[in-house]
Amino acid sequence: MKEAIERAHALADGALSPAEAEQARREAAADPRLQAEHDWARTLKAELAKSPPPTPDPHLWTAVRDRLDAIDRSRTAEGFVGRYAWAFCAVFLLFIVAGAITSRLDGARPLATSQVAGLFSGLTPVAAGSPDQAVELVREKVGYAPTRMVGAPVRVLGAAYGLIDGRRAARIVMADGVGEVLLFVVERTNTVEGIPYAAKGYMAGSINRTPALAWCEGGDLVMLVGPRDHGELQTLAEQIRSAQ
Amino acid sequence: MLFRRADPRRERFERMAEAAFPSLFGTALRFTRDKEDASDLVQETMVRAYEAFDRFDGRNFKAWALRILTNLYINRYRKRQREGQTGSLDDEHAAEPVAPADEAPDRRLFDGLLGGEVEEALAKVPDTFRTAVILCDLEGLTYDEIAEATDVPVGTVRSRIARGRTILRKELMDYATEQGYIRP
Repeated sequence: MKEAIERAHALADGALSPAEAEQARREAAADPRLQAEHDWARTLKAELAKSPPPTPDPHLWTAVRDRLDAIDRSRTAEGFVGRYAWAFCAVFLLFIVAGAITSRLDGARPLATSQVAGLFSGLTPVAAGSPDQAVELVREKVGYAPTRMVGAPVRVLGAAYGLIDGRRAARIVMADGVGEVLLFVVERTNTVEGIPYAAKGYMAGSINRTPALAWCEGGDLVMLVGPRDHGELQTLAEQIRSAQ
Repeated sequence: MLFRRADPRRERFERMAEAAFPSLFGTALRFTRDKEDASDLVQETMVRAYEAFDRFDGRNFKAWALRILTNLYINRYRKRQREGQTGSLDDEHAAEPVAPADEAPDRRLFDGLLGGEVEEALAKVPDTFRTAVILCDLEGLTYDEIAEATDVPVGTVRSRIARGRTILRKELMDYATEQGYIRP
């Protein structure tokens, strides 16, 4: 019976296959209750079809359009970024590369702590026969050297040179009446990490607990490291500088 | 936005959506029986439809949007409304639709009723059956479309529509008898 009633309703909805519709018609003709179900379904459909839909608030459609606008804006932005993402990346990469090249070619950079160690152990010793040759070698390699240092009251005992992060660097071992002092020259370098500026353009600090004094000369870094106080290192530095 | 460039996709969507909008809102209101919920539901439907507009097959926008609306309603609003309403009227236990064999007062019944009273009676029909009746009798969806929208087999749709109409008939008869439109 349940299926027959459902068929009677489905017949009113035109939702049956031809065979099923024929069956439903036969059933309705034979049973007044099924005919009543069928009639009720048709009447209800007709009456509900007359019922107008509730009128929406006019502001509701405006609100919908606002939300669609928001979606469009978001899509536009996403589309732009998506379309030109490769260009953004390329420009960003270009900036990085250009910055790195510029910095490497022209800019004076700080000397990092890890690179200071390379000054002591990473340079190639120069088999120099005399201090003059060593100084000349440093001058040639570094492009700057206290060339008349030999005229100052110090002796040059040896030299080494090499590259520190692409910058030419040299180490000269000197001695005076007090003891040995290391003189470092690093091109395109302005400061040494961990050695702050003190006074008169000098940077004062220590490297491996040994006093160090550095200064910047024409875009290159010069540094003295030796077992004596900063005042004595500064005196020596001024002798070297005045000998140039 | 005076000089906003016309977007053909947006224009096409708006043209179809605006035409279907009253019907969608009406369905949302009949589903939720709450104006605010109906407004939220129909807005959300429009947004979903717009986002998925590229997947619309171009045949019947209203039926397509009603499917989205019904899905949203079932997944979101009905769960909230269902609390305290389940138990006695699922498919297996609902009263069988049996019309009285000796009378056919349907025409007289409607003659005495106003549209608002029919709407009120419809609102009393349990949710599952009401949804099927609304989609079928008010929105004209086919059984297949209703099955797709409500995610149930066509046979279940057929059963829900028959039962929903029978429950609605009982509600209307009770009301009409109470008001003296028809004699008991």
